[in-house]
Amino acid sequence: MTTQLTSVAQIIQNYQIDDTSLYYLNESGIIKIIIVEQTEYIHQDDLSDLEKIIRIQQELNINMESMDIVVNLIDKIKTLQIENKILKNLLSMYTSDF
Amino acid sequence: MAFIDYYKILGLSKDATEADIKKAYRKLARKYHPDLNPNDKEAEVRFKELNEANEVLSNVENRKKYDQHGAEWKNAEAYEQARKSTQSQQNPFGNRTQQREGGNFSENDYSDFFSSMFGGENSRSESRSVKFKGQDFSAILHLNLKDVFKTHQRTLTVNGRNIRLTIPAGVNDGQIIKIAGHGGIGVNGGPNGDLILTFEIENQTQFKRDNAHLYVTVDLDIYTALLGGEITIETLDSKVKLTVKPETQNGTKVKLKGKGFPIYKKEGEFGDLIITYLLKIPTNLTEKEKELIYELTQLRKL
Repeated sequence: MTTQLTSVAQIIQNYQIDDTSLYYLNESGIIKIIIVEQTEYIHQDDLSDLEKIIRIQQELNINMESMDIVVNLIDKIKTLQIENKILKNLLSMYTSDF
Repeated sequence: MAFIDYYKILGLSKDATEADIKKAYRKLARKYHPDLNPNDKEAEVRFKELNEANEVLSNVENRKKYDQHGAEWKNAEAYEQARKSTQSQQNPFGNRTQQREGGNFSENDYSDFFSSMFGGENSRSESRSVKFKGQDFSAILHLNLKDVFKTHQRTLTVNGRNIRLTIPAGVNDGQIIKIAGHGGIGVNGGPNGDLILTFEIENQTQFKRDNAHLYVTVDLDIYTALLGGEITIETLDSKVKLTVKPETQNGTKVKLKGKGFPIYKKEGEFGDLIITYLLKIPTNLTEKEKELIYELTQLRKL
């Protein structure tokens, strides 16, 4: 299992992110810090989200406190896009004959 | 190659100050940043344009060069030649790529105009030198409806690597699957990125699909509808004989259980095929037919 985990210390070093930000993201539920044998890790599935957050933060100067809102809104957009696709597919069943 | 008006892209006039440029770039970048606009190709293109405009106008030397020569762009041949000789010597931005929502965003994906004018330089400041997890690759796989009727193997070439995939029957249009570890190679021993595959299923059949259920309209002549009978209809992969009940009404729906589309990841299970009968009225009636139909109408009046 640990092959899919990256230690928090390694992440802080590699992404040059401060630990306060990382713990804030964990508290907000945006990423999840897992503790295995007293070492803190992040699952690799969360790394893409973390990279996205770092990009948004660094490139758009958005502070971590606002990130919760941004991430939630992006998730909402994605959900709406999926719903939109399903509805379009359903609609095409009734319109493509005309 | 067309001239690109970088001032226009940022909504500025030529006398814009450094602060104006910074402000305009930040404002528009917040609007079009690909991470904030998932699956929006247009935003991705706009963001690339913005970055390019910012790269040129926020750098004093680049801006000077652009202001001096940009307006005379019709005399571009000299630049074109300069570009070719420069490009043969070095690749200005290497192959650095960043993972973005909705596709791979390549930083070396500059316009021809930019490359020809600034191709030999690398003025871009590295905003983020650290990378750890390999980049995620996004790809769209176009398939026909009949392709996903059965589970099949397919080999994809993603960034020069062949990936053999099993595509389960019943995959839906727009469905996204993540193939872990098949993206870019991790940096500093980090995990590989993932391959994010979006299926685009084109349907060129007469059937309409709603997940595992298929819908089709079948023409039925009025005599079979009136008296009943047997008809043969085509399903997606075979033919089925159907008994039509006497006095079947127009628009009657018949459900053929298990004759629809395979249910995703449930081998051997299928949705239903729903048939709607469309009664066809005969045309070009003969005198005899008219006579008989008239007789029928009289019988109904009694």
